[in-house]
Amino acid sequence: METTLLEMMIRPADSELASRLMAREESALREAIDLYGDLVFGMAKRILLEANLAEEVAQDAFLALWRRPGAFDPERGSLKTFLATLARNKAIDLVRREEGVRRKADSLIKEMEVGPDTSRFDEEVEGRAEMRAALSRLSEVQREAITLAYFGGRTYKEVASELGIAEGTAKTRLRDGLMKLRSVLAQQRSEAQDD
Amino acid sequence: MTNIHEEIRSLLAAYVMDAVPPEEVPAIRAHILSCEECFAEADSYAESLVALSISVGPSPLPAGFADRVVRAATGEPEASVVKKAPRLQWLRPVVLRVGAGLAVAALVVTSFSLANSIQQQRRYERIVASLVRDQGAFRLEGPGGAVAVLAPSAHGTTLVATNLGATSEGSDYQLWLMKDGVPTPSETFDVSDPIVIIDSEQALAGFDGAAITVEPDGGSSQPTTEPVLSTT
Repeated sequence: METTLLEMMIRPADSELASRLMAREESALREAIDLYGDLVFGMAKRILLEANLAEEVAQDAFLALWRRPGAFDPERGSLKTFLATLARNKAIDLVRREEGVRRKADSLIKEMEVGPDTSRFDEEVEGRAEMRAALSRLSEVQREAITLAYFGGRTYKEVASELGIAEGTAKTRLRDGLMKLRSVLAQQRSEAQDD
Repeated sequence: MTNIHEEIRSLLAAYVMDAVPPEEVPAIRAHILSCEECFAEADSYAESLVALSISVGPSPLPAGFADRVVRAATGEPEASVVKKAPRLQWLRPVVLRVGAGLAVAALVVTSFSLANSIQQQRRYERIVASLVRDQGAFRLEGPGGAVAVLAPSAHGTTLVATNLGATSEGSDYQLWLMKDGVPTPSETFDVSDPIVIIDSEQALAGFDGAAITVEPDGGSSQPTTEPVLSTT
């Protein structure tokens, strides 16, 4: 049976950490923050820019994990992606509730992170280098659309409006972008399994 | 039919990124539930979303962050686990929210006439899982394989429940949102199909759990029976 990248990325330690969170062990919460706090805060800052708001969102994400550890299912993905997605969703909720915290499109697009990154974080965040390499394979217009939707909280209609393109074109760019990403990730997985 | 299929197919990428206007979401969900091809395509984007979620550069946490989170976490009462409560002990005084109880909130109940085979039940469980992947939603479980998921949506909350048997005449299921063990009444619904989907305008924020009980038709202001499903 084919192993997905998602499955390959699941840390066995996540299950143990999840069990300790369910047992209300404070040390488990500290460990989760130690392991993934930078990533969660980074995601929130990417969407909100403002550090104080990002810290509030990051705190909310970890408090949600503490209050409802059962929401994380180690069989469905890694704690890293669970927390990053939780932070993303909370930040997007805030963007949609408060127009004032919405980042401008050009600012979001300028920050598109692709290609090789020599920062220490590639080593610290397992799988990040591969993911960035995959994103670098998208066309510029696909990356713009995905960035506005995923990190900017825009609907496809807003993507179309802000990029000055037809709604159908926005939908196509989002779809083609995710399909391209899927295809590159499958190729990476295949090459990893051959090695 | 083909036009609807193609139209929704073109929206699937936007849908999995939560980039579809709220008013378009129910139709997309309904189509995905009945279209294997679109369900498979939406499901196939999971890894791409993972890629996006960890493509962001981490940022060093502000000093004292962990201490602040731990203080906030441990200074609060623990999340209640409804199913572990002694019989009817969880029926504390209810704080009624104006507009929230007894199905006052705008409610759309969508039922799907799908065959009730074991194979399809398993598929529904996959759908339930996929709809809330990594979303931090409440997952409710009960005896006999009954599963429900309560997920925040752009316009409120969506409840997806599978394997719930029909209630007896004169009674409905009722959803309760929990905060520190106190139930707040929410939507009532009945089940005539293997899967039920309810979109509500009631927000999930601020609650730490959920439960479903069987109540007299129209619902109750406080639970009168033990939960048939509760937060895991």
